[in-house]
Amino acid sequence: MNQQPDYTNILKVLHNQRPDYLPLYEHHIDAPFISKYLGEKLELISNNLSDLEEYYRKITGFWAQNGYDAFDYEAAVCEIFPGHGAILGGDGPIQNREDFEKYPFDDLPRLFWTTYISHLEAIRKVMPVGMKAFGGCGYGIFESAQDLVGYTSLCIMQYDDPELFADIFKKIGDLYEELWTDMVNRYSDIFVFFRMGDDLGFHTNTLLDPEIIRQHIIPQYKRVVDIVHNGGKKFLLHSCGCIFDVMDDLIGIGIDAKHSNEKSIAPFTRWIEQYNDRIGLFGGFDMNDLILNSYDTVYAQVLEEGRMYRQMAKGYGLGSGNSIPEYASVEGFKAMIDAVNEIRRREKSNI
Amino acid sequence: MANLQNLYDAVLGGNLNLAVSTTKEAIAEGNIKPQEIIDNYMIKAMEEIGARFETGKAFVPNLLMSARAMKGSLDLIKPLLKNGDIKPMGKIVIGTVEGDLHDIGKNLVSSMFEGCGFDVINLGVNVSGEKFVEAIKEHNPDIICMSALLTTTMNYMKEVISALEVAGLRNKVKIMVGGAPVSQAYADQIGADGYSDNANAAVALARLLLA
Repeated sequence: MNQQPDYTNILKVLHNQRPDYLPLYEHHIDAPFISKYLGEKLELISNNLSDLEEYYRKITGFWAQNGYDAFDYEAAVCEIFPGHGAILGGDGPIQNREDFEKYPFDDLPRLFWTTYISHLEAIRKVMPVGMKAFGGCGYGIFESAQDLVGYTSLCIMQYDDPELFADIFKKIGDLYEELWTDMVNRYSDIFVFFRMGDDLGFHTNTLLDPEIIRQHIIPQYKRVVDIVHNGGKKFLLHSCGCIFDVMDDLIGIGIDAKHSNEKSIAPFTRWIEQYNDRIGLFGGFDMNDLILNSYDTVYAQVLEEGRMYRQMAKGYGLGSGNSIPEYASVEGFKAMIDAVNEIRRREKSNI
Repeated sequence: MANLQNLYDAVLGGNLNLAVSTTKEAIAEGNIKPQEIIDNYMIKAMEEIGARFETGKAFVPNLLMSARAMKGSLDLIKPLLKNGDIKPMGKIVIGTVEGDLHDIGKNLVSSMFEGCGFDVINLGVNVSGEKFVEAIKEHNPDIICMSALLTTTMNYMKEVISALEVAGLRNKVKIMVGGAPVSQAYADQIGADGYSDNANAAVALARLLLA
């Protein structure tokens, strides 16, 4: 069932209202997965405007054809950091006060816009009718600190040099405030809502003590949330891991919706039961289930549980608990899309 | 006289300087056997921080700080242990399997092993079956640990086990696996000897496998 995208439908999740039909949502769909799905090589040949337009026309077209109301685009902050890479492991470029003082923070906004402005302009030109993007400035406050310092070093720094630890988060907050202010001012027309992704947890707990998260990270989030809200937009937080200990704090600073879930952490029903009266929720289906199971198994699960989640939650958008990576199976993805189309059809037919 | 309760508190609280100074004091006085310092104070403190981590009362930074304090003390004590006195905890080869570049969880497990007195050879990320085989031949470990973050790369663990079988090394080592997509069922399916879902549990499992 192909229907015209309607970004106002998915936006209702951010208002914690029931959308007219069940919206689809993914944090991201890898371009190589789209290539695999389409049987057509999809790659960005160059950064000239016509190549960018062609690339994003195909990407957004894929989302539209599969029934999404909006698609993801993030201008990835960490990727413009000189010395980027510690987000995957190892040490980053800032290990002490001297590294911090000489790090070219002042030049980062220029690097950011030089890198991404052409992408945003291309997207503005080729967005399918009825569609908008969600995202904005990619990566989050904690992930940026990890990229600049390295997770292990950051954990040690918390005790060995607490002033530097605090200063790094404040400095990243300053950077995010500047980037997000410009993003909201310049590109609100192409985003249906804004989103920040920042994984705060792993499968049994938060990656830092919740009190440290409250003290150093959440105040920086609030700066971004306020910018988004002052720009008249809604804010979605994507954050992986077992972060229940800080969820009330996150809701307290005004996030409008939350995405990311894994069944090894908690069933999705727990997210609905605990938070659906206050925020919208996206996801529901463990990425591994979509990847490892057969078409029939995924279809049956999404059909049954998708209807249940839609019934239980106020604002709900269906998708994987994380994203569709390159290695996802085409049949699992198709099964999820087909099941959502069937849910929409049955609702329309009052079945 | 050195207050060894301070050493316990220092390791538990992740205070490297206090752990080192107390250990130096105890060594200088010579009133207690080095192995007793390890067993009765340092390992006990690591067990306590591990228990707190498992019950959500301590966090990854606490584990890392404790492991660092433990290692700082252990580095002072190890040279004093006569061969006959050494109670080896075991030698471990650890790596993230081929195709996977993630190392944060694997490094945390590695730090905990080191902190708890194991000898650890960390092969890094993207480690092939061939490299695991070479490392076993070179280091003669008791255990190899494999980590993966991705659903697809965890399948490579089975290939590593096959490589060990072909090389005739499978029965010479215990195999532990871990990582976000890995489960006990998967460990059983590929013929690993054990699975753990966190760094502290990995240490406990390693002790169990070597008991």
